[in-house]
Amino acid sequence: MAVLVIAALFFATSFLLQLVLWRIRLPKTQVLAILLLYLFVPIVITIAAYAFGFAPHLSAAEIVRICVVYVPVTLAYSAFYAALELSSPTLLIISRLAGSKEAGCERAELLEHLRTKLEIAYRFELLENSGLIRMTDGLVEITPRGRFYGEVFEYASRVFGLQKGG
Amino acid sequence: MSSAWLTTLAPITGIVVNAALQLLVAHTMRRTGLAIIIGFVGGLAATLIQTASNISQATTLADAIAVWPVVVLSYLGLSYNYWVFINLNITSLRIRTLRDLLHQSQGVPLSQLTAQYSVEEMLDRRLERLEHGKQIAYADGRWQLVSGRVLLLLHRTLGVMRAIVLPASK
Repeated sequence: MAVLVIAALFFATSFLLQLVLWRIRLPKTQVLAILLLYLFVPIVITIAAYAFGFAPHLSAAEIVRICVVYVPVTLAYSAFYAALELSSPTLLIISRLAGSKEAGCERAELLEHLRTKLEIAYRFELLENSGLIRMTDGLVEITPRGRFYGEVFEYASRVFGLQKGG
Repeated sequence: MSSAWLTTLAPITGIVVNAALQLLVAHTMRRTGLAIIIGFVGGLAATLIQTASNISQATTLADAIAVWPVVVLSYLGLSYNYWVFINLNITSLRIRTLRDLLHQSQGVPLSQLTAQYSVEEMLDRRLERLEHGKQIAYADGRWQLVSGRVLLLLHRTLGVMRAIVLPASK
């Protein structure tokens, strides 16, 4: 029970703090800011708990169990959050078709819908803000960091038998 | 290894089984969607079996009950991250951009990239994927939703989350 309560406390505190901080100032790289926030909040809570004598006695297995639940849930939330930053083209198509009900939509209608909702250039901006590409004088180059991630996904597509998407 | 550690590591066993099954199905049957589903279900089964095998060693009834949501949540978190990683390869424009840039010896004009990754191409890729997944259908010159309820629910959930998490000005 302590494991569940502590993990929930870590996540809830981080989430509430995120809501407050995001309204004060929206970070430039939001996903990175989330990862850092959700890393430091549990550390601060743990230090405070031990400092003020509130820390429960936990076995090593229970401490690891807290990490095994908290870290994946936090990473899952940050991945989910990335979907909040940008509208998914697939979901925009689905919502448009749902709205049209039995009448359906022509390709041209869907195209117009995507054009008004999507910002392709913003996606390149996000890549640049994340240090994965560099844009200079209208030219786009991949950075060493971008090359690393590109190669990871290139390798993954071979291992998992995936086609190149986009 | 003690039962407490085996319970703690059950979600890790689950994700390893998930990945192994997914790889096996992806390479033998060449069906990505089916591979993901089989992997997920197999991994969940492995997680639950390993937990159930060791749960009797829990100290109290409350602990025995509380272990289940922790283990399932851990496995779901690991599985979701794994699925995101695979899905990014299939759907992400940014990942595709990085992979294309890998093979360029020099800079590419931004105008060329934005023309290459046009909205038209983005739409057509997704229509093909959704039709292949039987979520939409094409008839009499129009596209219709067939079974995209889960995606629609996801879209609405994202809308609610956006309203909660992001400032009103965003």
